[in-house]
Amino acid sequence: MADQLVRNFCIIAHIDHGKSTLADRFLELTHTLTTKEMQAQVLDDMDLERERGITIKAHPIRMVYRHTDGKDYVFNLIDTPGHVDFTYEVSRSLAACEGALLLVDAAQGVEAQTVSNAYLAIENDLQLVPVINKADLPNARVDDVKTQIVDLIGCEESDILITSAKTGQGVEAILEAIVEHIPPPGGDPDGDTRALVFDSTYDSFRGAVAYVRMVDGCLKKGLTAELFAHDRSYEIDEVGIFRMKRHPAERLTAGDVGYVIAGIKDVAYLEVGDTLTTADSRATQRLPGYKPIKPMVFTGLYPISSEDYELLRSSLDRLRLNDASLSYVPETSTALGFGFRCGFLGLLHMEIVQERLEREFDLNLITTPPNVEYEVVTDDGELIRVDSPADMPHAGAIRQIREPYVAAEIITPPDYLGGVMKLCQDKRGSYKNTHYLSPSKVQLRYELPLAEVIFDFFDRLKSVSRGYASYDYEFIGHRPGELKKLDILIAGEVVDTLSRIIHKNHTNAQGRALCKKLKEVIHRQQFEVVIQAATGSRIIARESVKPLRKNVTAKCYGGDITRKRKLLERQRAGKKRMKQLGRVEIPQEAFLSIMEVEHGD
Amino acid sequence: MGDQDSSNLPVGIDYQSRSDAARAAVEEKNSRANSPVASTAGIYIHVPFCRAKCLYCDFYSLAERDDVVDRFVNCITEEIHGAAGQVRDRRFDTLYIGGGTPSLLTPGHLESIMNALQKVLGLNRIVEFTLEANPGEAPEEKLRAFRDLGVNRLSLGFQSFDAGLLKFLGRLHDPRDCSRTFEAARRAGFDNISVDILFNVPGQTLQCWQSDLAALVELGPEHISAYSLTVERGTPLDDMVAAGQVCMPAEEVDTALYAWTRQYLPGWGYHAYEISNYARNGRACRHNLHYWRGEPYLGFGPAAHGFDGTRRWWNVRDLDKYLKLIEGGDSPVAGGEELNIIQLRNEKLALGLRLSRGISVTVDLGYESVADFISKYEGQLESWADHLVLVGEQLSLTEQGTLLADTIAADLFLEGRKPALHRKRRPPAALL
Ligand SMILES: Nc1nc2c(ncn2[C@@H]2O[C@H](COP(=O)(O)OP(=O)(O)OP(=O)(O)O)[C@@H](O)[C@H]2O)c(=O)[nH]1
Ligand code: SF4
Ligand SMILES: [Mg+2]
Repeated sequence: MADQLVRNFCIIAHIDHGKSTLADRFLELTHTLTTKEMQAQVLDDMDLERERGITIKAHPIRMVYRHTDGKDYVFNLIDTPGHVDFTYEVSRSLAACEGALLLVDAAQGVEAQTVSNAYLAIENDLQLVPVINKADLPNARVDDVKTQIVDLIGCEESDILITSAKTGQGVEAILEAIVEHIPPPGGDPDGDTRALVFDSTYDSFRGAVAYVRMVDGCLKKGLTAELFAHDRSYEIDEVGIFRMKRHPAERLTAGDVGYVIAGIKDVAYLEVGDTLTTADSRATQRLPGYKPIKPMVFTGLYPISSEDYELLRSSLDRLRLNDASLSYVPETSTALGFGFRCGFLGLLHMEIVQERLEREFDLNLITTPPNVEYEVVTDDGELIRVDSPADMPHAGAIRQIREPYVAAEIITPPDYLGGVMKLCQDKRGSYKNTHYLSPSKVQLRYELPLAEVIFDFFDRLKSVSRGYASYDYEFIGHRPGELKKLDILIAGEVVDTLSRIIHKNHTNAQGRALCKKLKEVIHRQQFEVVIQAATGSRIIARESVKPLRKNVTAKCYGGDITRKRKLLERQRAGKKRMKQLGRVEIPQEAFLSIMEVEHGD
Repeated sequence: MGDQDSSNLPVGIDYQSRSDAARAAVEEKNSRANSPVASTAGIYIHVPFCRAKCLYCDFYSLAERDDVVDRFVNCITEEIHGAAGQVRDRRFDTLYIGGGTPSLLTPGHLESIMNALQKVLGLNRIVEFTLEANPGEAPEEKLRAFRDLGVNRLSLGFQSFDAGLLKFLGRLHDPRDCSRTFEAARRAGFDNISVDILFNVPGQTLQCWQSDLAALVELGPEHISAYSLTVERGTPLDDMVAAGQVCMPAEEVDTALYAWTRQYLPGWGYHAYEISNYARNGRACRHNLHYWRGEPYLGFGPAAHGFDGTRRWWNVRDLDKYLKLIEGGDSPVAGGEELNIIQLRNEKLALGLRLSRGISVTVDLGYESVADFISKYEGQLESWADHLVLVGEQLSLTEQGTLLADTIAADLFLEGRKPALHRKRRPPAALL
C-alpha cells in the first residue's frame, strides 16, 4: 500500500470564490512558505494571472501538515482555475487527486462552474469536501447556500464547513477534514511503475518537464523512463516535488505528486494524459488518461512579420506542453501569409494564449475573427468539417450547413429569470427546463447554437442579471442552421480572414456594420478603396475610402525641420503595423476591431 | 555615410545640455567625415514683431510690443557676440532677416545688428541678404535705407490680391498696397524681390486664384512663394474651423489650385524649384536652399533654430524670457537634439525630395551605388512608380508625387531603432 500519510486534493469552485486565497491560508498554516515569500494568491505566479486577478493554470504544491493526531501528513494540493475556459485544467488535476474541496462563495451561492466542477469531481470518484467561503462578508447567506449545496451534491448540512479565507476563520478545521475525509492514495509502491502525466511545462535548459501523479511503483534519477504513446526511452535526470518552484527529491513513489525531467528535447513526445513507466519495471497496462478536449472557437494566428513563422511554430509546441487544451494546424491565408488555425476553449482562452505567446516568446501576432466549427454537407453528399470560413465551399456547392449546439446551464436569482429567458430566445435558444436549487437560485437549461453563446453572451447575461447569473455549457452535437457565408471584399478581392459564417437574419446588418467599421480603420491610400460585403455573389453593403490626394507640408524652413521629421517618423512607425492586402494597406487594429462588430451587434 | 558636410562647420551657440564627452565624440566624427568641400552656411535673424496677428499665423511673433524693440535689438547683438569664439569657420553666404515683420525695424536697428554680425561672423562672403516686409508697412525711404545697408533681396508678404480674402486672413493691407510697395521697392533699387501668396483660402475660387497669379506675373517679381493655407494648431483659424465657423476648401479645390500654380508659373518663366517656391533663372532663394539641402545655419532671436550639420538647437519661444536670459548673461537656448546618422539621412531625404532636382542617392543618402539603392527600395520604387523618378543618381518626385511628398518621404524613411512594438518581456516565469 502507498503511504497512509499522504493526501492528494484540489480546490475547485466557480471563478473568484476564493480558491487561491484559501490556498494562501493553507500555505501559511503549514509554514510551507516564509513570510517573505508570502503574498496574496501566491500560487497565481504568472504575470497574466496577477494582472488579471484570476487563476489560469492549475498549480500543484506540496505541504506538510501536523494533524491533531500528532502525525505529519503530506498534502499535495492543486489550486485550479474557476473560469469555464480553463476547465481542462480542472479535469486533468482531478485525475491526480483522491479528493476535492468544493468551495462556494457565501454571498454568491452555487454558480454554474460550481455545478460543472462538482460533477466533474463526482465523475472522477473524488471525495468532495464542501466548504462555504467568505463567511465574513456582510451579505453572506450561509443557510441558503447550505441548502443549495445539499441540493447539488446530496451531502448533509452538517458536512459543510464554513470558512473565511480572508480572515482565516475555520481554516484549521478544513485541514483536519482533509485528513479525515479524503482517503490516502491507493496504489502499489512495489508494483510495475505507472505515473499519469497530468501536466507539463518547457524548461529552456532542460527540455520538457512532466508533472506526474505516481500510481504504482517508483521513479528516481538514473532509471530509464518510457512513455506509452511513443516508442521512446529517456534517462531520468531528476525527479522532484512542487514547492513554489520545482524541488528535487530522491524518489517519487506510488501516491506522490511530482515532476520528472528526462531530457525530452522534442516536446512532441510528451503528451498530457500519457502513462510513464520505466524499463526495469515496465507496466503493461496504460492508465486511462484523458478524453481529448474539444476546442470550441477557432482563429487564425499569424506572426506580424513573416520571418517569425518558425518561431511561432516552436512557441506553440512549447506552450502546448503547458496548455493541453490548445490545438493548432498550419494554415495559409492570402491576406496574412503563413500562420496557424488554432482551437481554443473560449475567447478568454484565446486571449490568454495570444498574450502568453507574445510575452513568453517575444512574438507579435495577429488574430483573425474567431468562429466555431461547422459541418457542411456538400452537393454530392460529402460531409466536411469547416473551422475556417475561408474553407467554406461556394454557396452553390452546399446542401446544408450544420452548426455546433450546446446544452447551456444558467444559474440565476429568480428575479432575473424573465430577462435571461428573453436573452436565450434572442440567441436562438430552445428552452429545456427549470430547477430551483433553493428559493434564491434557479437553474435554467437551454439548448443554443455555440456561436451565439461564445461571443457576447456572457456580457449580455451579466447585464440582464446585474451580474448575478452565471452559465456553463457542454457541446451536444451539430444541427442544421440557416447559415450563410459573409465575405468582405476590399478593392474587389475577398479578404479570406474576414469571411465569417453567420445566421441569415444577421447577414445584412453585419455586412453593413463591417463595411462601416473597415471604412473607419482603413486610411486613405493612393487610390480609392472600395469595401464590399457579399453573400455568395450578392453584394449587400458597400463603402468607399476616398484616395489620398494630398499630404505635403506647405512650408518647411529651418525652425520646422525637427517637428516635420518627427511627424514623418511617426507616420513611418505606423506603417510598420500595416498589413498589405493586395495593393491595400490595412492597419492591424482593423482585424481586431472586426471582432468588436461581432460582439456588439 | 560619408555625406555629412560637417567638417569645418561653424559650430553654433554654446549648447548647455551637451556634455563635453558628447561634443568631443561629435567633433571626432566630424573630423573623420571625408567630405571634400565644406558647404556654405546661412544666418537667420528672427524679428518677432508684427502690427497685428494674422488669423492663420503660427510664426512666433507678437503685436503691440513696440516697447521692447530697442531692447530686442540690443539682445540680438549680445547673442551674436556670444557666438564669438565658437565659430571656427566663416563661410556664411546668406543672411535672412525674417519674422514677424522685420521691416518694422529702423535702419538704425538693422545697422547695429549688422555691425555685430560683421564683427563676429564676417559678412564679406554674403551674396544674398533678404529682409521680409509687409505691403503698406515699408515706405520707399525706408526700403532705400535698407538697400543702402546691403539688403539685396526683399520678401513681400502679399498673400492675396483679393480685398475680401485679405480681410478674412486678418491682414492689414489692401490689394493696392501690394503693387505700391512693390513699385516702391523697385524704385529703391531692389532687383530681387520675392512675393508670398496664399491659396486654399476659404472662399477662394479657382478663378480668383488664377487672377491673383496673373496679377502677380504682371508685376513680375523674381521669386514667388505660393503656399497652400494650412490650419496650424493653436491659431485663431484653427479654433474657428473647429467651432464650425469656417470651412476649409475641399481637398479637390486645394489640389486644383496647386496644380494650376505648378503649370501656370513655369509658363511665365518661374521654375518650380521647390514644392511651394518658384524662381526666375538664378533667383532661387539661396538661404532657404541651405535648409532644404541639410546645410548648416545659425539662428538668432526668440524661437530661432540653429544647425551645425549634426545637431540642432533652438532658442526660447518667448520674447520676454529671451530678453531676460540675454540681459542676465545667460544663453537663450531652450533645447536641442543630436541627430544620429539615420535621422540625418531621413531629414536629407524629406527635405531633398521637396526640391525639383531631388536628391542624390549616393552623395546625399550615402548608398554605395544607384544599384545598391534600387535593391533596397525595390518595393517602394514600384509602388510609387508614378510618383518617384530616379534619373542617374538623382531621386526626385514627379509632379503627381509632390502632392504626396510627406507620405512618400515617410515611406522611404529608415528606422533608427526597433519600433516600440515589443513590450519589455520578462523571462518565462510562468513556465517555471
Ligand atoms: N471577503 C472575502 N473575500 C475573499 C475571501 N476569499 C477570497 N476573497 C476575495 O475574492 C477574490 C477572489 O479570490 P481568489 O482567491 O483569487 O479566487 P479564485 O477562486 O482563486 O479565483 P479564480 O482562480 O480566478 O477562479 C479576491 O479579491 C479575494 O481577496 C473571503 O473569505 N472573504
Ligand atoms: S505678418 Fe506674417 S508673421 Fe506677422 S502675424 Fe501676419 S503672417 Fe504672422
Ligand atoms: Mg485562483
